[in-house]
Amino acid sequence: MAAWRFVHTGNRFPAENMAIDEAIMNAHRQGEVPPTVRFYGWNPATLSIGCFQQADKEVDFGALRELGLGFVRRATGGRAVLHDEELTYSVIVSERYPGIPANVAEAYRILSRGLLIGFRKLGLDARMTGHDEDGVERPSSRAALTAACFDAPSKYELVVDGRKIAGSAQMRAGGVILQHGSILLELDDEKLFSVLRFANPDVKQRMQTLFGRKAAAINDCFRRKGMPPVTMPLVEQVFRGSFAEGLGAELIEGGLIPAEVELADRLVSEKYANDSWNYRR
Amino acid sequence: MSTVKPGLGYTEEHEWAEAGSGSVKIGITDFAQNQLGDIVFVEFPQIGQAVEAGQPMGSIESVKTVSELYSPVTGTVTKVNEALLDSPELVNSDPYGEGWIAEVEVDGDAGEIVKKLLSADQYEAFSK
Repeated sequence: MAAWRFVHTGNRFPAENMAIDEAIMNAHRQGEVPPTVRFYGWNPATLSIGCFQQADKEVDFGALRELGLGFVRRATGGRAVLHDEELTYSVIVSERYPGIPANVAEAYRILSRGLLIGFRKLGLDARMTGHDEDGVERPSSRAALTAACFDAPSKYELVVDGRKIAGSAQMRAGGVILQHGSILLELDDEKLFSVLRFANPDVKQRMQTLFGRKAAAINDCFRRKGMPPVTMPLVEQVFRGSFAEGLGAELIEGGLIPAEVELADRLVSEKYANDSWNYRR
Repeated sequence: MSTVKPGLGYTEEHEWAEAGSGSVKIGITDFAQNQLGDIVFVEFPQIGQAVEAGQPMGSIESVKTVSELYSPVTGTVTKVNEALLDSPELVNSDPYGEGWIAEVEVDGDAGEIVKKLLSADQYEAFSK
């Protein structure tokens, strides 16, 4: 069985979290570390936006400050995500690693298998949306999307009762894939929508209602079934096992190597904590 | 089934290059757009930016991933396809035509430079 590294970096500052993902990609590209599954959390709770989103147009920075939330632009695509009560994961692996398909959607499916297995082990009837056979419409252009992620299941998205339960984003650079995403224990759509900008209050209300129907957190699902909520330690334990199973790999606990720590520090100051990156659009 | 357009130069990173007079037009191949899925955003290089063969010159965001765009040639960016700002899906629908991405002015004979890249036949064999 292939040996992958597992690192848990705890709850960190937003810029640090993004810098560590990129530093791992770099170290893996150089052949210094094996493919890696990383778990992490956020301190403070943070709004992240996609690589190409327009910060000023989509984020209410006044509200963000009032709520004491952090902010960072991801290197991956997609839309705004509020990272609060969630387990965040990343998977870093070379495009040429055995078993990793060239097709983006296929690679997504393979790298997301661990999520599917994990939700099922928790007792949720999760499934992965397929092409179009399940009737879930895929957004085809940016114009059709709202600023918030989690509101539109696309291909190979994880859903429970038709609601999106995990949001993931991917990037590829220099032959290495980074996929990271959120496994939500709780979802505070009121808070999320209070820090996003909309044309007017009616639009905001409509979007938020729609979002409430299309997205769910693990504990929403349990509460709906009249079952007690799950805790973070249980979720971590289940998903650590399910990622190993989904990737067909043994996950060996390790830490970041000095080169990763060093590069992450540099990426914090030069990129992810820097206005020229966070407000570049 | 992806199409490969005869007469263009290709790279292993799935870009195509078409020789003009003193410049080379660049885009991504039909195979690449198929792999990426619905494209939602193209980040262009700056006009006037120096680019180097094999080095990143921009990014492409599809519904599911952000991928680097590599320049097949060395030179200076003179044009970008601004139609993609409103209609990035042109890269999906017409990758060798309306979905072109940038034009790069090259030093030397553009035709000779493009000939040094993979031929359509070589690329077809490579991307199978």
